[in-house]
Amino acid sequence: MSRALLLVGSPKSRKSASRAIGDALISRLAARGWGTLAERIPTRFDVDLTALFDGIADAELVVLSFPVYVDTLPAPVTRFLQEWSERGPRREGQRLVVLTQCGFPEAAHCASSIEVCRNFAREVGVTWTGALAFGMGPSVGEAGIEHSPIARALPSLDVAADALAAGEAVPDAVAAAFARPTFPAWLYVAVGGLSWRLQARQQRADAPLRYRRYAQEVRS
Amino acid sequence: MRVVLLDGSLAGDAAGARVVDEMFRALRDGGHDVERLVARQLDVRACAGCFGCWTKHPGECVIDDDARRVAAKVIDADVYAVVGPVRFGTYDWRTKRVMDRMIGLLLPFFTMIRGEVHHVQRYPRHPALVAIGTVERHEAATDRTFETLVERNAINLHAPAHSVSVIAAEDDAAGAVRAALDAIGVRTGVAA
Repeated sequence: MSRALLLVGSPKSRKSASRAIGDALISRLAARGWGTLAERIPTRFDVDLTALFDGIADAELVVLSFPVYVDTLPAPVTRFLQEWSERGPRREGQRLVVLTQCGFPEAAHCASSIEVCRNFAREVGVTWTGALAFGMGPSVGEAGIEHSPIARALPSLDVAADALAAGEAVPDAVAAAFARPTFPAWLYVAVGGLSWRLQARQQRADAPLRYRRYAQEVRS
Repeated sequence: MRVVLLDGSLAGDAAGARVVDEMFRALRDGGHDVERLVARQLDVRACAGCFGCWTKHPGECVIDDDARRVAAKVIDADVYAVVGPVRFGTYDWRTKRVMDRMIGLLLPFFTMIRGEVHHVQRYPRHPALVAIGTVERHEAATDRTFETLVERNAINLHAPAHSVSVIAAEDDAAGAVRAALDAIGVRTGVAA
């Protein structure tokens, strides 16, 4: 039986878009006869990653799913890739596919993350099988993927699963379907502002949202 | 100028430490007020992705560790200099964990910049960004990825100016560092 391992690089334990899209993909692989397993990448930097590498050694396909932080991979995911390259398993013919999302409407913000993962794959000798990137990630985690802005792209996830199960890369058309913004940017800007204010009220923010915690010395 | 130098060099990495030393020397020789923070020695946990720095405790991360102190120093600086190893075209994780925790310096609200949505700046002044990546040897793809990443960082962090350079072991580190600073108008002393 072919095996796929989903590695979730979100620090959120629940309502994680990374987990939701990852589960959606590996459930489709399971429906095609694959054995699947999901693991979270530890967010504590003192946690040993050996157990994670044991799982990778058994997988023909590694599905790496993570949010974009400050234009690239979150630190725990970066640490994981660094340790994989230094001491992780090498398996002949192992493949990597990346699922990534950001908090902006445009998937273009994910481009650097994808390039980093592609560079990693080349360096460690893992076969690169593409990436799916999309915007508005937090809304996927909150609403559930079936009711999220990327629900419209889910049918194309079957096409991606077919390709991956056949040992092929994710088709460009699938990546394009995920990358297409659901809403125009101006609407996202307007609705986003209201959403942040609502969240601040729900969380009983201890200061105005525009509050400046730190002093800036006036210099000529 | 006030400069925060985030030293991302690794323990035992003599070549990386040399580049950081060159940066520190160039800034000091230029008469700047430089504070060097060693990323690997900081107590910084991973960003929890909770957005509490926007919606619960606006303007500051809800985790009380060294990242708060770094954020306060960075936003009061004229220049934020990040020097450290590049892996696969991104920052080493010890540096990245610090950067991940800085988003409270921005507002959660959105604006359009160059046709894309970005966050609004929180402070009237944000520091210029200079990033120096160190590598054993140049590889076109990873060098390009890092350069693009820093350009994206500069937009998202509202840096009024930025420069980026990737320095390999065989390169003239002093010259490259000074060129990177010159590119954003930061005065340096004459190289020894």
